[in-house]
Amino acid sequence: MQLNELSVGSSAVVRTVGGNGALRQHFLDMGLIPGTNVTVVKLAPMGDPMELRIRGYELTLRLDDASQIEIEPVETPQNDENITEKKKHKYHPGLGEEGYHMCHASDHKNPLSAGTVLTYALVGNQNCGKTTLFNQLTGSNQHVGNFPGVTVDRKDGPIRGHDNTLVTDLPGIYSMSPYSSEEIVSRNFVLKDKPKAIINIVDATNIERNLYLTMQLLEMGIPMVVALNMMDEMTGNSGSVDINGMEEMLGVPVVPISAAKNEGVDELVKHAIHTAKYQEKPDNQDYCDTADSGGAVHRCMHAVEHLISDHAQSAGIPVRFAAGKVVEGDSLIIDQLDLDDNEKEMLEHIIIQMEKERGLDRSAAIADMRFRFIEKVCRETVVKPEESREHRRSEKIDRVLTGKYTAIPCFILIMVIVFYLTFNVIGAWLQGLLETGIELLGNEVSVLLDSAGVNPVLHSLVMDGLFAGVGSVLSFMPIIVIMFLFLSLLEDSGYIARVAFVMDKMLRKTGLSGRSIVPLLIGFGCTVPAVMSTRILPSERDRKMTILLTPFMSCSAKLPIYAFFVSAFFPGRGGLIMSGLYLLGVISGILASLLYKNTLFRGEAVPFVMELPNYRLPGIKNVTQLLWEKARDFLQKAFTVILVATVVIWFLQSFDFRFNMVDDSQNSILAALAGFLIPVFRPLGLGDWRICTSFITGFIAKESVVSTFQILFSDDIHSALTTVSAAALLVFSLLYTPCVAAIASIRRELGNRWAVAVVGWQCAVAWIAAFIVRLVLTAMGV
Amino acid sequence: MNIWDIVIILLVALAVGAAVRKMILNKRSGKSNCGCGCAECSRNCSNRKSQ
Repeated sequence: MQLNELSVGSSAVVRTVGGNGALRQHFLDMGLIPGTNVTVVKLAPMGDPMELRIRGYELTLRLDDASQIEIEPVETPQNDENITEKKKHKYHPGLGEEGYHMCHASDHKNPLSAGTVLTYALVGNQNCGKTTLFNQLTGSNQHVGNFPGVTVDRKDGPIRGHDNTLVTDLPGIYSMSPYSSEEIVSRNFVLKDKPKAIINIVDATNIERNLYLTMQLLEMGIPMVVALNMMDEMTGNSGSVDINGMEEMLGVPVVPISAAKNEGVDELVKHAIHTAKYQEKPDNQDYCDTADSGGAVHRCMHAVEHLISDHAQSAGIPVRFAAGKVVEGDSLIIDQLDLDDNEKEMLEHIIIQMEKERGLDRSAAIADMRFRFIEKVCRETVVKPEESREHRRSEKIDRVLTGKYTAIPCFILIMVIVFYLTFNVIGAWLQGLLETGIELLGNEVSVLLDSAGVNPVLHSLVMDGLFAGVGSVLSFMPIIVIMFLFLSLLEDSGYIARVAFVMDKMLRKTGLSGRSIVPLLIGFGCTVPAVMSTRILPSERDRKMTILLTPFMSCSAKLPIYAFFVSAFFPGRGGLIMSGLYLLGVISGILASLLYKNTLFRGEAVPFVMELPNYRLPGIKNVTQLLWEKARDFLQKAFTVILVATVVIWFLQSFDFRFNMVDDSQNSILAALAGFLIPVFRPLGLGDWRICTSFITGFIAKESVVSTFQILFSDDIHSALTTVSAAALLVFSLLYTPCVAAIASIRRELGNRWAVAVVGWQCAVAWIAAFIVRLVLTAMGV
Repeated sequence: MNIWDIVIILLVALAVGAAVRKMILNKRSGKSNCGCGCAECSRNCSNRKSQ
């Protein structure tokens, strides 16, 4: 029987894991190995993907991928052994308490020279609290989310109070077998940058799966400290960990902490510094048991270690780690070892013999060896917590938010509420308030300038240039900040991960995976982080395709453009027009994805293997910090790029080529420069040099479109645009090339050729869409 | 030209100068391609440096 045939609520034991390549390795690394119990929790509303409970956590998997896993149904799932009774009561430290730390008994043999910077890699699974710990350690304010894969690149910072240290926060990984590009960032850092020590953060509430990565890190022979995070949640639900016992078995210091509550972090720092300074390597790296299934894996691992030790040393790769990777068949490591053909042949014979004796293929045998050791550690040292309050709460919420008949209506309702509150209630109210304030200030300044007898040219510069340009853009700050607030609330609560789960089947029809929904939703805020967040996608095809679709998601910087033209041409229909524009962007994106799917990116979307985190209440500090950051960014943009652009535009439209002030801006430098674009925009009803200029400035920053309009049109905007051409302008603004910052990020992710292609393609799509809108509206007699 | 004209010219020159300086500094320090140096642009460009 295959896993996809198992009904909801039923349990089974995994017999074989089919498939091949990185996906199969990923299944194994996530704990889906022969002999493991799985229970189907639920199916997504559209029947695919499915959510499984395995090794105490929830994993989502597509039915197609599940069909490669053979299972044997069982009546009742084999409960994890009740180990509570077996335990003898013995002293072990709690949160922030001192342990025995037998690991520091190395007589301080290898101290690093004074002045050496102690570099640390902060490594752990996704969504286990690395960035929260990083913020506590370094005092920085990196954004923390409740979604696997918030951190997509490394970040550095010294530990507070220890200037000669440098901690690097890495993207979360499940194992040292690279599956996605963010995992490669982490693996390369540990292997190539050779940090002085590793701080391995482990989610204590999901300890089995987290320890799998710990096993691989220990094999690397780098000094290491294990930080058992979320211990407060663990103990709060009647769980506990015998810290000293775990230290003894792992051979490295283990420190219980709660990063969110800043408990145990000082003790962690103390051990991290000691371990790095004295280069205390793990005491134990040999996890294969001679008694385990006849010792086949043990013999194989040690034989391989002996054979490759010279190659591993010259390649600078830890021998034990290299041996594991050679047995697994990791081609990247095998190539680096530069083995002789004879050696490769010998290794192959050894591995085949092991497969025969063990009854499992090579990858599964190694994963099984690690999980067996983990099970032993957990049996000896961990009292698993009862089902947590957070989990029970999440299950209740999920019954509605991911329910068969309620998920899609809930998603639509939530998005409608977000847009309604942003554009019609909170954002619009705050915007009106700010607009009134800026207008009053402008009037006062104008009166002051008049009474001071200021030169008309300077009066024009201050009022028509600075106040009209920067002032008009500033008033849109509340809408943008509120938009980011809602996106942040959705992400921090854990809802976006559910959206990915619910939407996977629908997105697959357009050639994407459910995980692509995350970058696309972030694209409604800003294209730059949206492009960067595509790194959570494990396939190059999906990444490229998602990046090419993010410009179709209307970013918040375009809001000022919509608001400006809606108030001028479609008063009282703001919500409708704005929602329509967003919808048009999404529809255009869907059409483009169907086109990409059948031309540039043929093939299947990446498999959907993802963990669903528990719902959490977004932290006030985190949200406030994000809002402040967005507001500060906006102010900085307004008073740098937009201020300079405003003054330049004012100058170019006020003077001619002889630097004489012009009475009619038609004779200005700007009119002459922008004139060459008029033939391009004339078919759209936008053949005015001032409109062409605003599109050019919009490439620098989208908000500049509005400031340019304010400067160039003053109050006679209706003389240049009809309702139909205003609609065409809105559609063109929605779809034409993203700003220079977004193009720079696309260039970085995909290269020059793609970046130039995106600029050209988006302009072409925007022109065609605007032309169609103009034709349709004209035909309708609008 | 009266004293207020001079004051306004100086203030505008100062504001534009400070904005341009900030943009140049952001660009030179690798914080930004576009010169704006907001958190997104900084993150975007400093990440490029780290790769």
